[in-house]
Amino acid sequence: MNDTANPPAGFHPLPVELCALLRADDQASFDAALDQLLRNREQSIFRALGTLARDLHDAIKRLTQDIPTEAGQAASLESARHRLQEVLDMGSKAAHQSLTMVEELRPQAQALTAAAEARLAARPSEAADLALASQAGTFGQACQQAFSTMIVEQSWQDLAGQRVKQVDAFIGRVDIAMRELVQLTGSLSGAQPPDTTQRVADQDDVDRMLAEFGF
Amino acid sequence: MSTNLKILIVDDFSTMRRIIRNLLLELGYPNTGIQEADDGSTALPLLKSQSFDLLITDWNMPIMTGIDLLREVRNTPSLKTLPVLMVTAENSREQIIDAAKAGVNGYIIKPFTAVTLKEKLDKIFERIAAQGS
Repeated sequence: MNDTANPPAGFHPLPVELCALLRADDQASFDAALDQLLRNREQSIFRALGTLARDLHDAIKRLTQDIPTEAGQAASLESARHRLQEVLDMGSKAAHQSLTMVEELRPQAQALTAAAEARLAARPSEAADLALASQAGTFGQACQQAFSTMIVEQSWQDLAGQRVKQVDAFIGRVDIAMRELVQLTGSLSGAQPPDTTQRVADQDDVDRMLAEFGF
Repeated sequence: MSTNLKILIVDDFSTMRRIIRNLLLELGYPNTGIQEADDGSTALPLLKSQSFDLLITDWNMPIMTGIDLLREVRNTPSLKTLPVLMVTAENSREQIIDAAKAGVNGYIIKPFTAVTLKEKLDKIFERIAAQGS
């Protein structure tokens, strides 16, 4: 059978691997031709998957470019996660400072309220004393109420922080899943996979790893 | 209800531990009776080595979550009757049911005030007192 002969009109020429399969006249050459045919088909799929992984990676890179570093350069996934950690730390610091102020002032407000109540109980003869004691008592109580509210309001740091942690964990999972996908598709498509026992240090390492697979 | 209790607060956010401590102080609980841990795995050794009257724990924490800590507490003979109050941002029905099945005594959604905390604590100790009588 001559596979170089022109096929009839309306028919496409058969792939070379399929022609080899059809020509096989023993089990070994049939198996070899079948393996080659399947391998070629699989490699096409894995190359397409690899390209998809690369596109996904590029999309995430473009996203992180919207988060410039302090030096004005585009951020990496790692630096984006670092930024999230900074948000957590800054929020925590501010909440602790607020709580410290409340803890320092609350006993003073309680003492002022108690002193004002004691002064009023002593029935001061001067109207000015009476007014001042009354005013101080009202102020002390208002402060205590406000401090209680301030303490509860600091809960936002915990609640917002939990959301930030969830986003950070999600980015981390996407990063790992993408690296695994690239390694898997790269190795299945026949390229030599890089050493997977080592951790990828940064974005440049990820880029290099992707380039090794031709993505 | 006595305010002279030994309480362990478990939360991975130091701000929330401090907030709960302040709310307890506002309710009259002494500062000296309050201890803190930042997740279930650090709380459990404290619970096993010391005698606490109440455990207040968050749900979402690294290493050992609040629900896992609760299950460990209920599976530990010396701790199985310890009152546990879950203080969490998780308000799905499924999680509340899980906590109830695991033996939680009270459940508060963050954020909450000292008044809400007092209501829950009163209810927990009233129920325990009723069971004991």
